[in-house]
Parts: sequence; structure tokens; C-alpha cells
Amino acid sequence: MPIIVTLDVMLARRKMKAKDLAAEVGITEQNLSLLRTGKVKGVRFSTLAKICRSLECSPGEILDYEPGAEPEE
Amino acid sequence: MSLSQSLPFTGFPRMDRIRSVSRIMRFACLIAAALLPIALAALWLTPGSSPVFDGIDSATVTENLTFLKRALVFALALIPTALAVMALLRLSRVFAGYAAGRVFTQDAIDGLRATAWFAVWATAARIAVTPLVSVALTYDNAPGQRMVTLAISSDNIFGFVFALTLLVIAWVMSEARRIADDLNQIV
Repeated sequence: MPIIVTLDVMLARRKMKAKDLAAEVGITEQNLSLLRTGKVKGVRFSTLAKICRSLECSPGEILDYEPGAEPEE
Repeated sequence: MSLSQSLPFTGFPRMDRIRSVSRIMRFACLIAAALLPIALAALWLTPGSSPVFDGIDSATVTENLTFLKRALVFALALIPTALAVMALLRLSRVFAGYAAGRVFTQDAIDGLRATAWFAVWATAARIAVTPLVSVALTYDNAPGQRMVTLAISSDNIFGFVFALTLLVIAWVMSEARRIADDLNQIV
């Protein structure tokens, strides 16, 4: 997948635990773990907005694009 | 195991309604499955009753309807009924799954498909058994009064249409499951 989730980096910068972020965003820790490891097919804008609000960042700071990698069907 | 199999659909008001109706439907299917063979037995094995079977004129056969003959016809009529009971039992399992919030699961789709095939076989068996029943009922009649009846009623056609509709719904549900899987992978 050419989209890389760099949520772990932002969590470390903000010194925030994944458990706390999951609680603030309102998703399960399991789903947040899947998101952090890039094992999801997509992120809802509403979820992305809540993550950005909690981490005080922009979507570009937690998502990256890696050219060359083929998108999954 | 797909995500939709592990995660029940809960917390949606419409889903709650589906769950409560499914609980009722499951109960109704189980009651119907229990009553069908009992009703059939009461119809054929009760002395003095004048049962009818798919257009076979009971007036011509009831005079010499011995218990052995009744039992034989009951056994024949039990074949399509047993298949219908299997369809109802399989359908009750599908509704049990819906009641538990397992809607877009492979088990539910397999259940619908199995119900449809049982309905097809039950309808086909009813058509096939009718001539056998007519022969069994009129075998002891005087020459010229024995009958072989072949009947295809609107009930049979409706049975086939119902079963084929169920098969198509199972197919559509299979696609819906794939979409539900995709949705479950979006956080």
C-alpha cells in the first residue's frame, strides 16, 4: 500500500499512549492498532479529524505517501 | 475468518428491530417445523378422516382406506414434508444468527442457500410423490377406478419461485458480505 500511517511517530512526539488516543477518538484499541500498523483499507474523515484534534496535528503529519508501492484491491 | 464473521452488527436501532423480529421468526419456524409432521400424521393416521392430497378425489378412496394404506400414504407424504421441515429448521438457524446480530456472515448466506435448496427439493418431491399417493390410494379399487394423478398446482409454482428468490437473495447477501468486510476494514 503506498499510503504509510505514521501515527506512532506522532504519538511518541506527543508522549501520548495509544490507549488514551483510542478513548479520545472513540474507537477500539484493536482498531487503532490496525490503523497504526496500516492493516486497514481506509480511514473515515470523521476519525481522521478526531485523531488530528487529539494529537494537534494535520492529516499530512500522520499519513505519508510512498511512490512505487502498488495499491491493494 | 473475516471481520464480519467476528464482529456482530450491534448498536443500530434498525438492527435491534431486525434482531427482535428474527427472534419471533425463529420461534415461528421451529413451531411450524414441529407442527407439519404432526398435522400430516393427524391427517392420514386418524381413523375416519377423509384426507385429500393434491387434487386426488378422497371420496373415491375413503371407503376402503385401511390403516396400512393410510400408513403407506403417510410415509410417502412424509418425504416432501421432511424436506420442508429441514428447510424450516435451517431457516430457524439463519434467524437465530440474525437475532444474535450475525447478519452478513458466511453462515447466514450458507443457511439461506441451504433453505432454498431444501424448498426446491420439497416442491419437486411433492410433485413426484403425488402419482405414487394416487396409486397407493386407488390400488384396491375395481378395475377402471384406479388412478394415477399428476398434479402441478399454483402452490408448486409458488414453491419454486420462492426457492429461486431465496437463492438470488443468498447471492446478493454474498455480495453484501463482501461490502461489509470492506466497511469493517475502514476505521
